[in-house]
Amino acid sequence: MTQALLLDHAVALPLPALITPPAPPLLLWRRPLEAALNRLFSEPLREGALDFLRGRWLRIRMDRPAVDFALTLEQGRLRVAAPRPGAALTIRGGLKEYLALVSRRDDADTLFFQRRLHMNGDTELGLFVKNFLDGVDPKEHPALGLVSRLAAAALAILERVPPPPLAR
Amino acid sequence: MELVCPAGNLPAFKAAVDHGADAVYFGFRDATNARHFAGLNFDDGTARRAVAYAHRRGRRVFAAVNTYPRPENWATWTRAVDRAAALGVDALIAADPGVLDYARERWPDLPLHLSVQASATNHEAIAFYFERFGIRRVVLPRVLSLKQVARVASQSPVPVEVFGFGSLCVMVEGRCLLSSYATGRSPNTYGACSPADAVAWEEHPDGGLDTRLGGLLIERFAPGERAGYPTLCKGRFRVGAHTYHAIEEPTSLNTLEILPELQRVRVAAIKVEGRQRSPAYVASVTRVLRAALDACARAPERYRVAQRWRRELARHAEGCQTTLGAYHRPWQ
Repeated sequence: MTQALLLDHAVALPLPALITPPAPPLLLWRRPLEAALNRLFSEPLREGALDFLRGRWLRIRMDRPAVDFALTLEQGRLRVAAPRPGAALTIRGGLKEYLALVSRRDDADTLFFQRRLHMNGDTELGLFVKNFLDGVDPKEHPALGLVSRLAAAALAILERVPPPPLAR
Repeated sequence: MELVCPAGNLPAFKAAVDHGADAVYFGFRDATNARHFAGLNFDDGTARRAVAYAHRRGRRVFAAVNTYPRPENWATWTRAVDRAAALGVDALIAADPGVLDYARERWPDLPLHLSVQASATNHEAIAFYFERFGIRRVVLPRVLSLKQVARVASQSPVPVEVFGFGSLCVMVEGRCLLSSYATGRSPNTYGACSPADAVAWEEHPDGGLDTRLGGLLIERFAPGERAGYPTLCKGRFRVGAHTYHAIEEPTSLNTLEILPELQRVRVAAIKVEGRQRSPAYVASVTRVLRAALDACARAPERYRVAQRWRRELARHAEGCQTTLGAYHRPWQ
């Protein structure tokens, strides 16, 4: 690594570090996340719209802050767990990409074309996930609408901050 | 010119209506339409809500039943026509002569649009569909130059609709056999060029990305290089000493530049591709084209493509650029 790069990193580190603190360990947020997801998607779960996850693990990874967990459907409920080998599909992206998806500002295909969202594994499961998220109407699910607006606000703040100079 | 926008789910449908589409087109959750993907499209319940949403706001709804039935599943297609008619859609988009004939006989009041999948590229073909099935509109394939569109439009017995934005299809649409070679399924009967279970993305540690279709390597993206849909026609192949997009480049069609000319040659409607895309895409593309079409209708001679329209559409493009596609082929 060159000295210039090191210097650059040292100068720019505090700001992104402020807005992207290290994620707390999975142990702390596994249950709250699981409860929130089951509540948020209670209606689609009842309607069987998430059945494509039954018996299959979807791994979700974020680089910064580092988040990594797996998701499946068990007995009609979503279950969050530590990532495990054998996930059918892994989705990987940065905080901005996930916020752009949750806030519905960007299209998953667009992010994929731009190589900002990565997908590894079962392509059909990926389509199911994408089309499920696209198909849930935030206007008919106020809680989802709120999450979507919060994500949009967070994204707006994040985009005003210059990106960290060292990628990953 | 009318703006016709795509919807693969209810939020996208509402986004199209809310952002200024004159008509929205959709398909059912099966192989009867050309966007047959896991978790996409409408069941009867969501379709009913979509039609009501559009009609309450004075917009129209078209149902696409535009793939080709086979002897063993003919009834699936007639059922799709019946479902569309029962929903009270404003037009049925179809390609197969059998399906057109069935719709005409069974639902004489249901207006028919000839799908791009029928690949009618000359006015005589259109006249045949008009005389035989009473079609009210034809969607022209994305292979004609502007000059050819003008000629067809001036001689067609029915108004013509052309694609204005979205991913390109380079083959004679409705007759493409390319992906059958790799997947064993034809887009014309199955409803998807690259069935998801035949697609494999493989990322390399250096950030490179391989695309395989039915196990065949069809594309290798360099780290950071913009990617496209995993279709055979947009892959890179070694031909002689060169490896390149031998069939078509993964670009998006964009006709903002030529809207006044399309209007002048009396094109009746501009269609946006992308039922597989998200509500975000539909909202954004619909908004831009609505603004452009309004500006073009108000004063075609003063029409200019705004930079912000260009930027907004480029964001959604497949691959790394937009193109006028066949519209600007001077030799055609």
